[in-house]
Amino acid sequence: MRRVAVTGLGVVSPMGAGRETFFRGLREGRSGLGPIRRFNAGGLAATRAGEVPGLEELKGRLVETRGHLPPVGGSTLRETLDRDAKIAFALAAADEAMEDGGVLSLGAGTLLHLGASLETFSLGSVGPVKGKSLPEIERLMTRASLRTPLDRACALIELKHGRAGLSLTNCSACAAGLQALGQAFRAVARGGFERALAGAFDSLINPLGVGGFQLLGALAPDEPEPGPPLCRPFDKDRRGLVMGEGAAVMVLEPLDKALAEGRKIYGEILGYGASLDAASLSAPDPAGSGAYRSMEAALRQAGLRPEEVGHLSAHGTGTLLNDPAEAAAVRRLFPNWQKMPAAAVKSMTGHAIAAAGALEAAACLMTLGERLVPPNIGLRNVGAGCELDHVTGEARKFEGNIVATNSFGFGGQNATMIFRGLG
Amino acid sequence: MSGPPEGWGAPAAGPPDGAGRVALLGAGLCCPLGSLGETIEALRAGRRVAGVRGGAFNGEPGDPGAPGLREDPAGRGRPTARAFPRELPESPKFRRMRKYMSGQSLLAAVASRAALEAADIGRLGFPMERVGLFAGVGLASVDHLAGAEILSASLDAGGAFDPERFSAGGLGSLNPLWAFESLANMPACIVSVLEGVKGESAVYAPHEDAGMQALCEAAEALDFGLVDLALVLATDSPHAPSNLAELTLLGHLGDDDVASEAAAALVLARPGDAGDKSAPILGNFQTSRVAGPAGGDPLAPLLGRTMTAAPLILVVLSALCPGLGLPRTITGSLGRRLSFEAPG
Repeated sequence: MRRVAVTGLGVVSPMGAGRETFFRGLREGRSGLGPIRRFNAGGLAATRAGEVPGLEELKGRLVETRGHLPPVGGSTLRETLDRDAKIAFALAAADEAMEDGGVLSLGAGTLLHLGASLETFSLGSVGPVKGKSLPEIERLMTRASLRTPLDRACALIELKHGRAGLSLTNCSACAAGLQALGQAFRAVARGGFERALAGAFDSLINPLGVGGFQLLGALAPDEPEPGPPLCRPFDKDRRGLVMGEGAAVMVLEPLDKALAEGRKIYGEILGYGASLDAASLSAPDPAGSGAYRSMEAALRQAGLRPEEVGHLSAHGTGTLLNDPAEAAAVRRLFPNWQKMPAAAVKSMTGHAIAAAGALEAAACLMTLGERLVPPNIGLRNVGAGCELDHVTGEARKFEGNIVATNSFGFGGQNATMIFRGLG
Repeated sequence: MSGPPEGWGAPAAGPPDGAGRVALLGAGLCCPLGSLGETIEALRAGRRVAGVRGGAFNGEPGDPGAPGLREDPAGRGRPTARAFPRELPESPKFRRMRKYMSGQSLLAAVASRAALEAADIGRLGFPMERVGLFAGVGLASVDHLAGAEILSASLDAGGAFDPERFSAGGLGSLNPLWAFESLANMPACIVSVLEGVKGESAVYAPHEDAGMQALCEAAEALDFGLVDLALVLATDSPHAPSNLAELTLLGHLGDDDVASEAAAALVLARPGDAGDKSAPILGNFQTSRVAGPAGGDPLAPLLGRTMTAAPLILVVLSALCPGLGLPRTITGSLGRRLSFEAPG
């Protein structure tokens, strides 16, 4: 097995486009949450979310640099981006990661592996089929797509950067980002590929996405008080998740090769683990047994004892059931939990669903590079059962060298990844 | 799984290049010809799936038995074939979970139960924490939205989406369980809950390469000791009108291709472990990467285009029906190759 390093990184987050913008936001403990501006959400219980600012400018830049490329699946790039914002995030993050990692094109030695959650989430697109007969629907939809298939982002990345040796789309909901990174890590470690471009992208900030999660009872209703909206992971007053969006894409390469070529190295991936809850589709086991097995598997692959991990980037959604289940699993597994600073990045970004795991993995790389653990800005009073060494108020200096991050998916899929700094 | 639809399933020359062998211990199928046993019987009798034009909206997948699909009298619409399981699992857990299931999930649950029963998983005695679940899923259907009240209550007089109407009326008419029908990972998660599978997992989308990737990932997880047993499932509903149209638009379906609803599940183990437990082995296969083009779907003349489920079905039928003359080596359009051999 080869050691694997992260040598390139691209991020689009509710703090803005670009990894430096993301890192700065984490350092400063800045909220990326605010009123939903992309559509009129006035009638919904939750009218706030973590939207990526400057979407139109981002789309404009992408069309400018790729507008000459042919349509894919019957849609021009502009049509695709207008229908589905998450495609714009994926393309921008991939471009940035490749530029950062000095990757000029993909090619047969590269694995392209991205995570995403839902392929169709636009009532505006579905509208034209209302009341139509089957043959009419077929005629209508064979002229213009009413959806963006999940693999469209990979197709568009390959259109600009050349075919990859293998192109995959993982759709394991909120665990998809970390699963895509984890499986890409394994593929490079085993020698199946010389390089991977991996991560995730997502956006459910549209009427059906926000409304659908409202119906599930998963969203935090708006705060009655003035001021910025809050996502409150591990807080006693947590009331649910706040929707976010974005993308994070990484370049993974063998560590030896990266060192020999003098590449910038954000960190080494030491281990990845995954598990299934097999308990409920919508709620975790209160003891967090699935989360425990996921973290344990990652430690086993990394060849580490739990107490060697110096920081945990928690899944930390701010929902009533998930936070104490995760905290219980962490306390049970890590004897050093009282001195292992825990971050909850979703307090700043909201929950970017499939992209969350990749964004939080990127946050881990910031922690390793800048020796800072970002704060949980939504935490005021720790909830019962949520006790961990939470970092609150402002970023805390990080003394360790090994960090772990969790992603737990709706439906019961869990994933954990462990990084080491090389600085 | 991106780029032009080059096809899938062409025989590839040369031996595989090094991936470990895995053993097939059990299989389940739910397709237009019925269960695995019914399908084998039908194929041996020379029957093939025949598409029905305009029948895609008829019946629900949970309907027991064939409902008698109605053909469009004008012959409009593309040919489709539905899968109607004759029997659904009887367990209370299945009945509780039924409300969360889309058509893809239901077929996946039926095929998975059959595969696990066939492998006699209880007798094998592997801890469920060491059993992995690897899945491929097809495009999600949006037809339940198109036919729902939500559109009537959310569109203005000109047919345009109106967020205010949506908030005031449309949202209230949406099935609260809509997310469970729409999220692509739900077929796998539902099977995990129903069957108690707790190990590694991954879900891929869409099309044949998602099924191939699920097989390859399972084989690698076994090879590297991450799991001791793997349940691989693939499920697709290409017959659904929105999917039918999208697949045509993408060039995946030709004019006369029959879009067949199907799910398949396989139970895999390392050959040594299967031998230690005296488990009957239906066949072995290896996976590897190759360069080169792929061809058409060899199952299409028999079962129609089952899309994501096709690679798994091919493995099963190659194992159990050698007389059909199916290829023993298949290549995915993105260079994943699977080589199958019957037990010696």
